[in-house]
Order: sequence, then C-alpha cells, then structure tokens
Amino acid sequence: MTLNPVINVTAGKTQMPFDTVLIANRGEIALRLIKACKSLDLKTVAVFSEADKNAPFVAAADTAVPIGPSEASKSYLDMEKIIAAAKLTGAGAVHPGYGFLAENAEFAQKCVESGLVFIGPSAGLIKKMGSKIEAKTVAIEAGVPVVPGCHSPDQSDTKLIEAAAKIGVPLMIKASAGGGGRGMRLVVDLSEFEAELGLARKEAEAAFGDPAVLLERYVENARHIEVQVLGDRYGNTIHLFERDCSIQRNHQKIIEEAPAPNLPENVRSEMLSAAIDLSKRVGYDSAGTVEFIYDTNRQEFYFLEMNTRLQVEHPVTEAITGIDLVQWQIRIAMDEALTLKQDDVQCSGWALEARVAAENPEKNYLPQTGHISNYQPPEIEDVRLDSGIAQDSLVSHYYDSMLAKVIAHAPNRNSAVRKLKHALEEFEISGVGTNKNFLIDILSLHDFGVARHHTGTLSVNYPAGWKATKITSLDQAVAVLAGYLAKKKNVVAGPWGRNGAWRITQGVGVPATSHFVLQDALGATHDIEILEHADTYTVNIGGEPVANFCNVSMNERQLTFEHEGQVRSVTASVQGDRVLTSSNGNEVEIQLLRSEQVYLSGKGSSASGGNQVYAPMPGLIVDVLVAKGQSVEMGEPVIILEAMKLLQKLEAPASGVVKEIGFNVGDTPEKGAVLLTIDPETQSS
Amino acid sequence: MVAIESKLDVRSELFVQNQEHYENLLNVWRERMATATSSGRPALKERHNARGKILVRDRIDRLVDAGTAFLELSPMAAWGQYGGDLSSAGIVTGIGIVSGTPCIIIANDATVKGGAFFHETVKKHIRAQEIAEAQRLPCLYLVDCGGAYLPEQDRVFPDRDHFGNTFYRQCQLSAAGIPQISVVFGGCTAGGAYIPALSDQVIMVAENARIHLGGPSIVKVAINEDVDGETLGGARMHTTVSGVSDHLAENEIEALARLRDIVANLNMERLPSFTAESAEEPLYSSDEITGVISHDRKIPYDVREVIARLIDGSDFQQFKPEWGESLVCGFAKIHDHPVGILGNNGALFSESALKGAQFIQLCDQRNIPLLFLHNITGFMVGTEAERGGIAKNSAKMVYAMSTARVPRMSIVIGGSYGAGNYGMCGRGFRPDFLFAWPNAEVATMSADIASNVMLELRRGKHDGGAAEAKELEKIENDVRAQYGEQSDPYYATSRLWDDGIIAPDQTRTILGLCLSIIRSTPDADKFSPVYRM
Repeated sequence: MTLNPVINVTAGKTQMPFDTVLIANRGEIALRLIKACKSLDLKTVAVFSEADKNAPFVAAADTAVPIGPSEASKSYLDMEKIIAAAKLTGAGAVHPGYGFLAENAEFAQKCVESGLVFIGPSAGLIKKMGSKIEAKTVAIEAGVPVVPGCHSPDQSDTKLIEAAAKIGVPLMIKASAGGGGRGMRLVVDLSEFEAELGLARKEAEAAFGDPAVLLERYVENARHIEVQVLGDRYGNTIHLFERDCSIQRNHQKIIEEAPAPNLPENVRSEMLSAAIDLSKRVGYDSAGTVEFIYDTNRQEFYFLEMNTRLQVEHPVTEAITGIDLVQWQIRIAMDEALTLKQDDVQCSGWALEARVAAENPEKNYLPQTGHISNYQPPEIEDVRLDSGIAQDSLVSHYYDSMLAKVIAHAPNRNSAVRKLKHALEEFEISGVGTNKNFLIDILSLHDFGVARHHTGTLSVNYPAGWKATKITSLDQAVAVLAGYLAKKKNVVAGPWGRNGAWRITQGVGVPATSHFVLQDALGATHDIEILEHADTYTVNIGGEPVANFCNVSMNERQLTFEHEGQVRSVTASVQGDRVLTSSNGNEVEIQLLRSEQVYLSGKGSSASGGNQVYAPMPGLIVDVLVAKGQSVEMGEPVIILEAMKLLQKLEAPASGVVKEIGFNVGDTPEKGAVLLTIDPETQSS
Repeated sequence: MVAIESKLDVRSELFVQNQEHYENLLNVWRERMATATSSGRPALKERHNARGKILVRDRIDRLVDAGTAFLELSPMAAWGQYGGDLSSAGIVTGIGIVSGTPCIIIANDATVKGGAFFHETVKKHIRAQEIAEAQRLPCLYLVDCGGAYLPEQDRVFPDRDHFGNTFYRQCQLSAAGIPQISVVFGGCTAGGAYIPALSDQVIMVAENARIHLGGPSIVKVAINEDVDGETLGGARMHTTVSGVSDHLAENEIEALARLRDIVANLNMERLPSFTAESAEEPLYSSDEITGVISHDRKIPYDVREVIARLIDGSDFQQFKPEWGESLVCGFAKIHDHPVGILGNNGALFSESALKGAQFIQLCDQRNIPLLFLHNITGFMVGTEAERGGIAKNSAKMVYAMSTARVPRMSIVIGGSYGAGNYGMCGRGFRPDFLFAWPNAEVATMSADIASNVMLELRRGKHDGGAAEAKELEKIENDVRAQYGEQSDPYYATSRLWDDGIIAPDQTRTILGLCLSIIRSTPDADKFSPVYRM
C-alpha cells in the first residue's frame, strides 16, 4: 500500500528549508535582520566591504564574508559576490534589507536560480511594482485612486505636453524608474514645462539609466501616508495599519509615525482597504508598503507607489501592533502561512521614529564623516534604538548618512512626541556632526504638535533653511570651562598639575591667567583667558569677560556649576582638544587649542590663498564645469563632487582665470585636496 | 604611622592673639608682594604695551601650560633698595611647566630700569641657573634687557659671581646637556647680546628684538658707520642673514608659542616620581598655623603643631621621641613624597644634636629628602653644655647635614640664629630650596643678646678707659637698630638670602612643588655643548 506523501501545499513548488540567512546589507538594518534571524534560531552570514570591516553588524553575525572595496558598486551592489558568499557559507536564503539590492528583480531572480531563497516578494512582483507606470496601471485596475497624471509608454514630447496641459499645474515630472527624490522636477508654470522635462529626463538617465518620465498632479499641502501590508504564498493578505511619513527633507523621510494623526476615520478605512485590494490583486506575498499621497484640502488620497521591501520606518508599525515584521517576512519565505488574521492586528498607542543622520542640516544636509568618539545611547523605557554604529565606528562617505533610528512608543501622540524628544536629547554622538538638534526642533514645531504638518512643513517653517539655536558666548564659556577642567587633569600629574594655575601671588590678588585659543565650529579663533581665584573661574573670550563660574564640579560626562545664582548641569565630553557640551539638546562644539597649534600652523608650509578649491570631504568628481584658462566669476560652480550619494556644487572662491585643475572626472580626491586653482591676477575683462 | 593629635585650642585667647599678630605680618607681606610683583611704573607699562609688548608675568602665563603652577623665586629681591624702584630686581625667575616639561624661566622686566642688571638681578639670575643645574631643568630666557646697570658696574660686572658668571654658567649648563633657549623681545646690546648668543636655540620677535654687540651710537663712534638699529641687529636680519637667531616670530604671542613648541621636543625626561599622584590632606587646616606661632618669641610652642599642618594625613613617625626632645625628628610624606623632618622645640643640646646627626644619616641611607624647620636660638651654652662636648656634638650634626647626599630644604619658620642656623642647614649650606615666613629672623644672634654682648665687650675693653653711660647707651641703640634692621625678613629676602618669603598656608603646596622637582632629577650624563654657528 502506498501512502500519499504528506507535502506542504504551496503555491506550486517545494522549497528546500534553510537554517542560515545571508544578510545582503549593512548598518542598522543588518543588525535588525540578524536579530530577527536569531529569534527564529537561524544562523546569519554578514557580507561587508572594506570600510565596514569593524562595523558592529559584522561582529553580530555568526559568519562574515568580505566582499570587496568600500564603493557600494563593488561590494553591496555586486550580485555575483553576494551569491558567491552565500554559496561559500552554505546560506540557504538571502535577506536584502532595504536599499542596495532590495528592489532589484534581477537579483531576486539570480538568488532563486542559484538555489537561494530570496526573502521578499518574487522577482516578477518586484519588477511589476518597481515600474511606476505599471504599478499605476495595476492600481487603476484594482480600483485604487491614483493622482491625475500621465503614465504613458509614449514618451514623445507631444504626448507629454498635451498630458501636462490636461493635468494642470502645479505638476511634478518624475523619473519612471526613480525614487529617493532624484529626477523629480516641479512645474508651476506650463511655459516652463519643456525645459523642465529635458532636465528631468537627463537626471533620470544619469541616475537610473532610463530617461522615461511620468507626470503627476502636484498636490500642495500633501501628506505622505502609507499602509503596511503582509501577504503570504497562500493568498492571505492583511494590513498593519498606516504610517504618516510627511516630515521630509529634500524628499527624504526623517520623521515617521503610526498611526497617522488627524486623519478622518472613513479616509483611513478606505485607504487600508485600497492597500489590501491592490496587494491581493497582484498576489503580494511578503511585507510591503502601499504609499499614498493624501490631499488634506480635498480629503482625498491617491496611490503613489508600492515598495516591495521592508521599509526603514517599519519599527513604528511593529511598536503599535507588537508584530515582528522581519520575522514574518522570513517565515513567509519559509512557506509558512500567515496565521495572523486581520482581527488579530490591533493598534495600541502611538509610535514615532526619527532618523539620526550624519549630516549638517544647516548646510543643505551636507554629509559628515568621522570617527564616533563618544557614543551614549538613550536608556529610556519604551524607546527602541536601531543603530548601526557604536563607540569608535567609522562614518565614511561611501554610504547613506543615516546612523540610527530612534523609536518612541507611548499611549498617545503627545507622550510619544515628548518621549522621542527626550530620547534624542539623551542620545550622545560625538566625533561626527549629526542632525539631532534639527530633529528635536522639528518635534517642537507647532504644526507638527497639532498634526497639521504636510510634506512642505519644513520649507514653510524654515524658509531660509534650518539654523541651529545661536550659540552664545556664555555657551562657549561653559564649553571652555569643561575643556579647561579636563585638560588641566591631563597636562601634568602631581602637584604641578594638581594645584591648578597656582601662583605665589594669587593670595595678593594677582591670580594666574591660563591662555588658550578657542576655535569655533566655523573655524574662527578667539583668545581665551581663564582666571582661577579661590573657587571661582572667570572666562574671558577675545579679551571680554564672559562669565564667572563657581561651585564647579566635573566628572566623566557632566559639568555642574553655579552661574549668576543658578546651578546648572550640562553633559560634557572632551576628547583631546575637542569639547562638546550639551544641555536640553543645545549642543556646543569647540576646539580648545594651545597657542602653538594655532599661531604656528601654516608657518613654514606652502602658502594657501583664497584662490583654491579644496575637497570639503572625500568623494568622487562627477563633473568639472570649467576648463583651464577659462574665466570664472566668484561663486560660479566649477566642480561637482559626489559624496555620500549627494552632489555638491563647489564654487569658485574668487574671480579670475582657472590656472590649474588637479583632478579629472572619476577621480576620488581625499578631503582637503586642492581641486582647482584660480589665478585672480590675470582675470580677463 | 600615627597621626599627630593636635592639642591646639582654636578658641583659646592665645590662639586668637597669635592669629591677630600674624595677620598684621601677613598684611605687610601682601602689600609688599603686590607692590614687588607689579612691575614698573604705570606710564612705563603703558609704553611697553604700546610697543606690542606683553608684561613679563603675562608672558610667563602664556608660556607655561594652562592650568599648571608657576613657582616664582625671590619676588621681593631688591626690596627696599635703590629707592624702592627695582621691583623684583627687574627680573622674574621661577620654575614652570612648559609643554609638560618643568623648566627654569628667567625673564627680564623691561619696565623696571629697562631690565638692566643690578647686583641683585645678577644674583637672582645665577640662583635660578644654580637650581637649573642641580635639578637638570632646561633654561628658558625671556630676554628684554640692556645689559649691566652702568652706575653700579662695580657690584655687577667684575667679581666671580657677577654678570660674567651668568654666561659661564650658560656654557656649562649647555655642556651638561641642559638646554638653553632664548626668546629676544627687545634690544640686547653688549652683555645682553650674549644671553641669546650663548643659547642653544634663539627666537626673535620682529620689529622689537635687536641683538648687537655695539649699538648704532657705539658703531658711529668706533668706526664712523651710520646705521640704524634694525639693519644692524634686527630680528629679520639675524634670522635670515647672520644666523644668530633660528626663528623669526611676527609677534610675542607667536614667539612664546614657538618656544613652547621647541620645549616639546627637548626630550628632557624626569624620573617618574615627578608625577606622584593623589596626596592625603593634613587632618588640620593650614590656616591654623598662624595661631600656633607665638606672637611673642619668648613663649614656646610645639613645632609638631606646625608639622601636623604640613604633612599628608598629619601622619608622623617620630624618631627618638623621648630623647633629645628639643629637636623633633620624624618621617612623613608631603604630596606623597617621603621626607625626613627636623624641627626645633628649643635650643639644641648635645643629645638633640646627636639625635639630629643620626636622623640625617638614616634619611641619607634611605634616600629620603630632608626638611629643616628653623626656629632656633642656637646651640646650648654654659659649663654643663661645654663639659658635655656641645662643640663636637653640634659639629657632628653639621657634618652629617653638610655631607648628606639627599636633597635638603629649609623653611625659616621663626628665628634662625648663630650656629643653630648652621646645624639646621642655613643658606651657607646650600639647601636645594630655602624659604622664609614673614616672622623669620636670620642673624648671628637676636638684637637683645647682641646689644648685651657688645656692651660686655665695651666694658671689658682695656685701652678705652671706663665707659660712660652715654656711650653705652649709644652702643646699645646702634646695635639694636642694626640687628633690628638686618634680621628683618625683608632685608634678608631683598639680598637673596632665601628663595622668597612665603605665607604659612602656601608652604605645603610649595614643598610639594619643590619635592616633585628634587625627587625627579635624573642623574647627569655626558653631553656636549652647542656652539652657535
């Protein structure tokens, strides 16, 4: 008698079970994936580039495989290397995380062909939803509202101009294959349409290798709301509520929350149903996100796109639902059926996430690099930190500038906002500049507090760009005091250091003056004098008395002092000459230097005038806009440098004639390299 | 060890009386210290600043490491001499930490008689070089002087310990491997030119600094050449043409920064004891010392009350506590440095002297520095004492003290008279450091005894006839006046008989600074001098 074999009833194939997952990503998300694998008793394999060899995720994985140089194109984007690493280590599955190869259908296909399970939707789904035009067609078929627009395979000028007229202004031209804000142009006047179309095509071609564009009505005061869905290979599909990701800078999300605040219930339920309908229609079989744009004026929403991957902001959904999305992604990839029913998914409380990035929000989010010299994560109940860095980590220019995500969960929105602010204030990262204060400021915006924010909120509130709270000379004096006290301990041990700036004359009213030079964040230097008498420290900056501090005490992390009758405490960290103080999120960074470090620098070395263009950070030269011998005006862009995925226009520091260009397109100069020299003398008229 | 148990009653009438008396002494000290350390007259200081020049003590503040001590030596040198115009003898000397290295700093004060060298200026300069030699400290000369003060040339120029000796010492120090570095801030003519010229490395400040053996006027007279000072000996010329200077600094701040940078590379390492860490404070406040010291010298007090307020944890291991009790000897620590302390509780008897000699030998054997606290009327006199051999016994203490190989320090905390001064390591015995308190008196004997002795001598004179009452009165008045003036501590410090008058509550800190220097001096090795090319 033959027994019918008991097999998994699957979508038509039997899949090899796996016990090892290769993590085809880096940073915080690699750590997040490793954690989920561990909770499912799966072994993990990390792959890492040269720049990441000491990164925390490499140590966290059971096995780690080097996959080449720091440039992502030669490591994390190199499909062959990643598949070879999986073969080498016997990994049975690959989790791509987000970014890099996460939405690359070719990679998903290659994995399957190599006998690996791709943790995510099938290659066909990725391809289908990856094309904005195709995705929109599917949405229309599923009865999901879409933004009025033109998603035509006919890319002729005539067709697009005609469509633009129909849609009306304002309208947005987008790269069909795009994302992340690149290749997007806003048209507010139809007469500018043709010119903008040309630029958009060029950018799309450069960024994605495809000049195809689509047109869309531009919704003013729009909110970005997205629905998290989860589907399996057995036709089960549920939603895990929505997220509001309207706080964006340069079209990139920085603060996300769940659920979406200030959203009429009928709109919410329609939106959730629409997401389910769309997912079901395509047979979506993993974790995915259906993004909508919500028109607050019309109270209407339109389908934007579907992301066929885990989102950066997935933790806010996990917080309010208590469901581990990565676990389910993996379980679904293991052919498990989704045992969760829609009714099992409950929304509890409020969650907010802030993305802490190594960037300067005062300088158009210029990426910052360096070594993490001090790292103190917040330790607050119901605050989750997904971080890719640790003490001494290297933040290089090769990858995205996001360092960590801070997620706060609380019973209601107001408490969640407060908790997130508190967590950001407690989160100490030194050694590299971050957007922390910017995030804290955003959380304090009135528009955000009353949930009247939209994707334009930041430009409305910071029309001239965000500026950090002005650092006062008192703030600087506090930093000087912290630096002085720390340095004093290290100058010389024994009585010669222990007694401070002791003088035989201090008892007769002639205390010693300790001299330093303060260099502020902008590089300006100021003479510092510190007078110690009895238990009081007087700090003079640039010859002007700034403050008297008494009852001063300092430990490893904190400086406490009395100033004008008030006892204050600030967190202070001193590494070498670098002093960082922070109180209530207000950070001050100075360099406290000795005279010889300032007055002797540049002496004896080659002269450097104000006629050279330096690389502000290491990067790739993507364009040189001038030629040797050409006349340039001061402020004219001369070189385009790509660093950390952003293009920077470097401007001529003086008017004159280009005398020398030190690098060519494709070169990767180090920070400080002289890129171009201008001869101001020979300026042609 | 066992902590000293203080028997001092801070509420007693005597304590209060003592403190009041001492406060008056300290007020005088504070006023004089403030005057002596305020450089020249305001108009001269303004002129100095107007030339882009920094006052001498501010230069030192900028030179030494921020947040570290500077031990200024003999700030009241020349006090009360030359019409009171010669603040600090026109030169600031001391020990300071520069780029982590303790150095001797010798800095002219151009606002005091143009920084010219008087007798005390030379003496102070040489004393600083002497410490540099003994403790192997690099010498940093902040030169801003015009050479010898000509009206006083007989007291400045010719003798073995006069100006020439400062240059001899510079050569010897360099030869002994002790760096000699100069920064020239102003004009250095003739003798002054040799301070930089004999230095291992020289920095000159643009515009202000000049070095020439003969200035423009001498050149005109001697060889009939018309030349301006800048061409003849300017900083730029010497740095780029003659090579007399190694570095040209645009201004004084840059010059001092350059000096700090040079010192950072001197490779002058000290023994690890230089950085002795964390010391226990005494159990009793040093503020109480002024209530211990009797307002009347005739009222004795226990020197252990002073010791208890100077040493770590007031921990004191007494040596022979019940023998020769007029000399208190014992082991203690100051700022974590071991030290053998000798303090007077009355005149020295044979027993006390023998005890002292033995204690010194113990410290010498154990490599423990000696600290003498002078409050001594002298060795005991009288038949009994002489029959007991006080002459040879006191000599034993002097022998032991003179030949001890360990560092020695003296603090004159009261009187220091006659042979007592010898036994307790007075200036003649070259202690490594010697400081005095504002109540100190150093003389062969007190004014009382001196006048009586002189009167006895006059009465015993055979050829002078019977002394008249008037003559005796004059003798008594003259002797009292002379001893009164000369045993005044300011008279002493003015003449460099000590390294400075210090307040009792500064003493522990200063001893800590000195001990960490003298206990970290490495053994001298063989070095060769640097010739200026």
